[in-house]
Amino acid sequence: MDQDVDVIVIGAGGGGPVAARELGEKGIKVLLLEAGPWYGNKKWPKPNEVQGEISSAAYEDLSIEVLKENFTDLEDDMNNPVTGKFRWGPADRNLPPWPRDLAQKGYTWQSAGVGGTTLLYFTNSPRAFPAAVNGIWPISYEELIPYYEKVESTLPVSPAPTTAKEELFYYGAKKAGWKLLDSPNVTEPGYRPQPNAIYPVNPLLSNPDFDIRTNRSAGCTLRGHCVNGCHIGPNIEGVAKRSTFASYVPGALRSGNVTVMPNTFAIKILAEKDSAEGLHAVGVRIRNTWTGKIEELRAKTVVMAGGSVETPRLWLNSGLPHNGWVGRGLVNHWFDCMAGVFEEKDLMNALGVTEVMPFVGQNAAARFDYPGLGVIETYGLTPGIFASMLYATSNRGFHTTNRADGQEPWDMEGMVAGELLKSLMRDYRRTLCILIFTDDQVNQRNGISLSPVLKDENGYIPVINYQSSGEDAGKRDQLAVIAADIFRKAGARTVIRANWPPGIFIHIQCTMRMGYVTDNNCEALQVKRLYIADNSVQFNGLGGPNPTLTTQALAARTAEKIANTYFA
Amino acid sequence: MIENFFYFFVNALIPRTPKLAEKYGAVQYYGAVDQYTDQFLVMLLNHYYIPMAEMTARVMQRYGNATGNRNDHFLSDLSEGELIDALQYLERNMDELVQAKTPFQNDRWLIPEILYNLNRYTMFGYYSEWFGYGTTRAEPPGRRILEFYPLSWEQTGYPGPSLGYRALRAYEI
Repeated sequence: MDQDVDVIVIGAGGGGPVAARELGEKGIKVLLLEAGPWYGNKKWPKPNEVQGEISSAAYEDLSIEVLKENFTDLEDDMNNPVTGKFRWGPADRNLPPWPRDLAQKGYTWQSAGVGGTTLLYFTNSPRAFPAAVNGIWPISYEELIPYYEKVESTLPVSPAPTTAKEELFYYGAKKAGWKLLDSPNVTEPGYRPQPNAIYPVNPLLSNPDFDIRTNRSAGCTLRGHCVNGCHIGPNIEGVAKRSTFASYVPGALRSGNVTVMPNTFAIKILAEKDSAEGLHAVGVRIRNTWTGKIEELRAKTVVMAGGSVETPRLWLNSGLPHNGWVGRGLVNHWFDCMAGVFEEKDLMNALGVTEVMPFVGQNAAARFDYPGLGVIETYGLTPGIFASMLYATSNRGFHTTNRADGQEPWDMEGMVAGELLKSLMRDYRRTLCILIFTDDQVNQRNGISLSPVLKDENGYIPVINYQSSGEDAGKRDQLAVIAADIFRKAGARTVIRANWPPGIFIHIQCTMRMGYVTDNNCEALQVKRLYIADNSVQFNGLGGPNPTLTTQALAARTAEKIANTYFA
Repeated sequence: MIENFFYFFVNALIPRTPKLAEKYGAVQYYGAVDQYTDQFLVMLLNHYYIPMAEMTARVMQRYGNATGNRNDHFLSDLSEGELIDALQYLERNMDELVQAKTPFQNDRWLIPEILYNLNRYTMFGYYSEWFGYGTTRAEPPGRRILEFYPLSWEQTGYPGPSLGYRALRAYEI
């Protein structure tokens, strides 16, 4: 039967565009499907209001002007989890978000749209800890290195610049006796600037004649809106923050071999059996999110890259063969969130300025890595997300019921309300926040299953379940103690621990693990010509580091494997 | 009933604070009810797959009644300490609520997600730009215009969106 294209890639998030571009550059015809809208393309000038066209394959369609009209820097407009532009839902914001059944305390933070969750991610692009890969993964860390290097130079990744909040963290970490790390291959504890996928700071920024309002030059301007959507740059490919819509997608279009189709939800993998290959993927059934029109597209190979919730959901909804690890093994780095509140005089002493300014600089630009435990990283955000993360999210209820007994190295633990909340938010400009990512362990009990009864227009909805282990809790507590010490050494007046519940899904990984669901080339063991190129294929949680770079490195490698196996 | 419930709920979480106003200036007086954060919550909850505001209010009120509160408006007419206790009570009972949910009843399954995130939505709504949409606040998101900055930004010292800051201190650390 005739093929519509060589390869269909499902999902234009962190991984899909990497695979699409690498394949396109090898002369392979690719169709990249995306469930959400496309911001920054002339074919969709009002992507949330009007259906627009079906697809785009031309680099010339990209438009920084369209992007600037749509990215408003306002957090309710951009980040509201139900109505925001960066939500897990269709382009038309008059429609509800797509439902998930999360029957535990927490939430999933994901975005549909070309760029996927990289639309809002902090761009932190560390490699895995070698000790979490070597002797554990089916492939070695050394085998990943060339692909890490390729992605790092393509995005590109570079050490993040230091503003007040990062300097304060480094000051505390140094005083606490930790060392500065200088290798991307982290084998011992220490602190370092984030390896971020953001262009270096625009050198014109220090020029007094530089007009920031009319700026169309390249480079980060330290304006603190990474999470709300970056639109700083001369054109889409030159946008400072290297979300895949600005990095890999323009490159894919320039190859002349990649077509991107937004507003398209993949609802079924089409597979057929023959004597030569057994069961193999032959295409995808899709549904247009504006019109509801369903059609089938055929290809020689299919790549699933819809993320660690949707990829197993799609497998299960497609009726593909049973595998006890499909959807299972979910890790999420069981996050925690902490903060130090500082007095002016202590900041003067540490930094020579009186404020931390959480809304200035790249959102997350300093980190502390501890192989065996996980990661601590600083962040600063706009006040709505800031308050909801730090003061409204806890596994321990309100802080009033968790009175410090003098044993814990923090002053408060849990949510905050009332006059104290407002008093602490008055100190917003003098508050430094950190996140903790725990090196949590894979457990087959945790994962994604299908609701037995609840369906939306795309099939049975995913049920997400994650319970942490006692070992995970111990590691996380150790990191919280280290973070509290860094805050104290930096001079914090008050140290606050939110103590997040385990069910917060930001780094969602390992639900279609290499070696269990796929072979070492990321091709499904039970369905030939079906590959996986998102966080779900990771073997474990990397030891704690942010997953995107590793997914992108694996996607680059997978594209090579696909080309060699089926298009040589 | 819905409106009353959310009014008292957001007021419990982010009240008016006359003492802060005395100390730090008049703007610190205003709380969530002054920025209509209750309306924000109702709009948000009703934008879910199934409109959820009324059911959320009913479920919370029922549990509130179990605290022996004195009137029909759970969370009203309480001191600040009592309010936090009441919120804490709800928080503790959410696990029970979640256990009690009937997953096969189509209108109940979103309850846990909403209860667990109500505090987050309230703070997000209050400290985001939403109040500043003024007369266009209730419009669909694509038709709103930011008419002014919210009081909450002044309370926190957030200056609003920016195109850049001359804030680079170093590349080497």
